[in-house]
Amino acid sequence: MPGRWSWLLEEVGLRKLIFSPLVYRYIMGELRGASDLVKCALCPNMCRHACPVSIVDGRETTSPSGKARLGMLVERGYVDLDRDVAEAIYACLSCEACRRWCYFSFSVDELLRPLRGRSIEEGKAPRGVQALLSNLSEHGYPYGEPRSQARPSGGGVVYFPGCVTTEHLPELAESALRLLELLGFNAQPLEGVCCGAPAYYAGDERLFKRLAARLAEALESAEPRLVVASCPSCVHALRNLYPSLGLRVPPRVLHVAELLAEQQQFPGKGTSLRITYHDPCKLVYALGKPNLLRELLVRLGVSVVDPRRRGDETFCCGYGGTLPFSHRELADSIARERLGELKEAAETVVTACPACKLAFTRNGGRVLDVAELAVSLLGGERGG
Amino acid sequence: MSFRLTQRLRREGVPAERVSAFIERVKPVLGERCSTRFSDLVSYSRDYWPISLHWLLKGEVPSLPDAVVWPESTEEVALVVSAASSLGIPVYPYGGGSGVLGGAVPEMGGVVVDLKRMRSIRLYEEDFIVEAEAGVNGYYLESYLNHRGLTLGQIPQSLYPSTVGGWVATKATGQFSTKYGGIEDMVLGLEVVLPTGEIARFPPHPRSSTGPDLMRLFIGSEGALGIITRVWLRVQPYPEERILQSFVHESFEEALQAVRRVLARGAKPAVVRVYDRIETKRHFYAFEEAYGKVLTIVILEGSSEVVRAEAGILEREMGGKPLGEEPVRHWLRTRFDVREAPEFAPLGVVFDTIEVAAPWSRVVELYHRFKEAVGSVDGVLFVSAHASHFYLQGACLYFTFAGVPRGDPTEFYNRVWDAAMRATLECGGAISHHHGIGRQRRPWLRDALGGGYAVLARVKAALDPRGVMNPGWGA
Ligand SMILES: Cc1cc2nc3c(=O)[nH]c(=O)nc-3n(C[C@H](O)[C@H](O)[C@H](O)COP(=O)(O)OP(=O)(O)OC[C@H]3O[C@@H](n4cnc5c(N)ncnc54)[C@H](O)[C@@H]3O)c2cc1C
Ligand code: SF4
Ligand code: SF4
Repeated sequence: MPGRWSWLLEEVGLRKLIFSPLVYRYIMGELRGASDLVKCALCPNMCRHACPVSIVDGRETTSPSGKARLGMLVERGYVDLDRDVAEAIYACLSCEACRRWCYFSFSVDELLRPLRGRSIEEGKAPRGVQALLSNLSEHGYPYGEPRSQARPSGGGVVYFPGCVTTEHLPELAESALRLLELLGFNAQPLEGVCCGAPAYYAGDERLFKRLAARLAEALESAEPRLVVASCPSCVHALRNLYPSLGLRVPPRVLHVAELLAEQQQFPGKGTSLRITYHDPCKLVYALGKPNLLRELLVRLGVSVVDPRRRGDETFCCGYGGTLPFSHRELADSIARERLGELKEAAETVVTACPACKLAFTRNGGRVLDVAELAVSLLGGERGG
Repeated sequence: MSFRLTQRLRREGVPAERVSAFIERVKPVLGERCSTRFSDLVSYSRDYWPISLHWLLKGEVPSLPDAVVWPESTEEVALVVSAASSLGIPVYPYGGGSGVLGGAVPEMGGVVVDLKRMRSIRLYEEDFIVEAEAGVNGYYLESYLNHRGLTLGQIPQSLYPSTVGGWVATKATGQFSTKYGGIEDMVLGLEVVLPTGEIARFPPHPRSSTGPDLMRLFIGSEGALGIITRVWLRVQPYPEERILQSFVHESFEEALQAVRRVLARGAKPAVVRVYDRIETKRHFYAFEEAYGKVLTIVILEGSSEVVRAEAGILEREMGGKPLGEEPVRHWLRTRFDVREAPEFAPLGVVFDTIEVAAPWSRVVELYHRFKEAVGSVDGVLFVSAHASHFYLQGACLYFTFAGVPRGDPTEFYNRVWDAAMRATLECGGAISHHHGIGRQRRPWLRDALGGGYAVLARVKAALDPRGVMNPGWGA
């Protein structure tokens, strides 16, 4: 059967092609061609429609390919990596929606991370990011002194709420613990130790490794048979990023929604509530579960109204990656945009990520975490 | 800010004090939405003009603007344009920057007006009309409509990066055009900020006979006659059924004739694409029965009864060898794959597409003469084509060429374009079917319009006495 380039060899002819040695070697697989960043820089922005930053900010500067273009110009020495350029390179939610549409399977976030690292080293990263990193470095927690330093003791099940929950949504942690109890797990919380994901997305690889090692150690000493987390970013870090650093992680790390989905049946009382849902980008793209939340809600007996963008076309809440630290106003505008869209479907929104809940709540939304909804349906106290 | 970028096109600059005066006028209203930051200026120095990819790789951009603004309402656009116009500062509207001819390049410096912050949508469901601000993203609009059981039917390959305003400004057309038409068939009403800053509104009607159709003046005007801020578009029910079919013919001519017969019988497929031998090999190499021949793919869509009747016509008139649904599915999966340009430009390959149109009586002649003319330019590796937008009167031929120039890439590029445009004019073809004029096609605009060029020049002078709107376009 003819291959991808047979037509070129046949129609152009070997003789002409040999006079174009780069082309010839490329199609013969002997040459890798340009770097991924350069290819992305030369793309006409074929994922722009999916990028929340690009849609809401509206600037070419912060569009997926626009950021890659600036990155390429910096790498090639045509443009300096000053604060202005660094700000554009940080205008990203690390949501990976771009990868979903990219025929190259690029994630702009990933392509730009090395340059973010360089801007940190050169003291050019946005001030909010610098403050975040210095808190992480000093306290191992994004917001300064941790509010709680709960540590579990040997064996059993560990509940890992994640820093956003601990800092901003303690009631969510309570509901999650109550839910675990209802499901028959006697879980103990582990709090005040960041998984390192914010440092990872900020581009500070060394700090990420340090934080990851710290959490891995804390978990190792607790020896849990199961870790349940509320934040899909933490699950992604523990499940997918830690092993690539050679760190040992507990045998099972599950997001609350994944644990719920494993239950055979729910003794719940059902509800007549009309609810819509927001699929968190990390659950959809990083954990590869585009339909999990919706399926769970249907099984819980909720009357579900689909929002316009959902599943593998979800739209990040605005609080992904380090955007709320580097571009707080833009992050809130994205949250309002998404919330408006969700409200077209229903007043009450269920999600499965504390950052999404925080983003929407701060911008006037009525939002329940899936743990809070589940507790109220499965007979516990009212959630959220 | 220090940078080592060269500006390739910049002809004249705007005196700094005029730029400052402009900023003083608009800043109190726009605030942060008026920028002179370098990261913004460099990001608006170009669109998707393929030759500029080669420039960019060498640290050259077409031209830097002096400022970029992001208005959020028609009134803000009017403020920006009237300030710029009274100061004689060039204004360049900018949508998605997916134009492929340098149309949005701020050649003379001045201010780029990005419309992407204007993106509200309003649906008049009973009337099958949607109102969209100019900056609405293409896919965003289509998915908004699909969620409500509707479609616009405008699916250009640049659906993801482009904007509604850009579509109207370039008179764009989509992959499903044989049924739904081009954007000009969808626009029912339009709002535009004139080069002097006044707002003109042409409200939507099913049809109207109230003097000449002035609204049409702005469709395809590429930012030279004003800034389109809002449009009213006709929408359709989302298709109930879709039928996919493909056919193999021995020659390009034979396949084109088959499509002509289908259209003459009154069938209106949404998608019809006839690929010449090279393109059949290039895009469908996995389909052995088509390899070395000419493949046609067809999508019929709409209400079931109509679509089935059309399928009957297709079956009777297409001839050739039916190849089923799979090649069409393959096209549906790969139709937004544009990896070749970013892959090959860094290898020194100069690559572009040129879309032209001709009536049935001359389309085959145009196909051959174009291929011959471009193929004989030194350095060209191949020229291929597909026909992808059909009318009862003729078709669009969409050519692709690639070459590895021995000397300056830009000179090579211009030689190819010259050969292509001359061949098209000699065959009585339209030099652009849907990409527009921009900066790349301006040398041939006068010839293409003949006596009509004077009309264009007078309209331009009347609407834009100070010549501020997209100066350099078409000139
Ligand atoms: C990969 C790819 C595939 C493409 N496929 C197609 C296709 O299938 N069909 C097709 O027709 N085209 C296609 N194009 C060309 C291009 O996408 C279209 O011309 C599109 O309509 C441009 O829209 P934009 O919003 O990106 O406009 P821009 O590139 O930003 O601007 C184009 C021109 O219009 C002017 N302009 C933009 N917005 C306004 C406004 N609101 N008011 C006045 N003037 C304005 C600009 O000044 C410029 O002159 C393709 C391009 C690419 C890169
Ligand atoms: S991520 Fe892929 S689709 Fe998006 S701009 Fe880069 S190359 Fe294009
Ligand atoms: S990761 Fe998300 S925010 Fe960042 S460029 Fe991709 S789509 Fe945009």
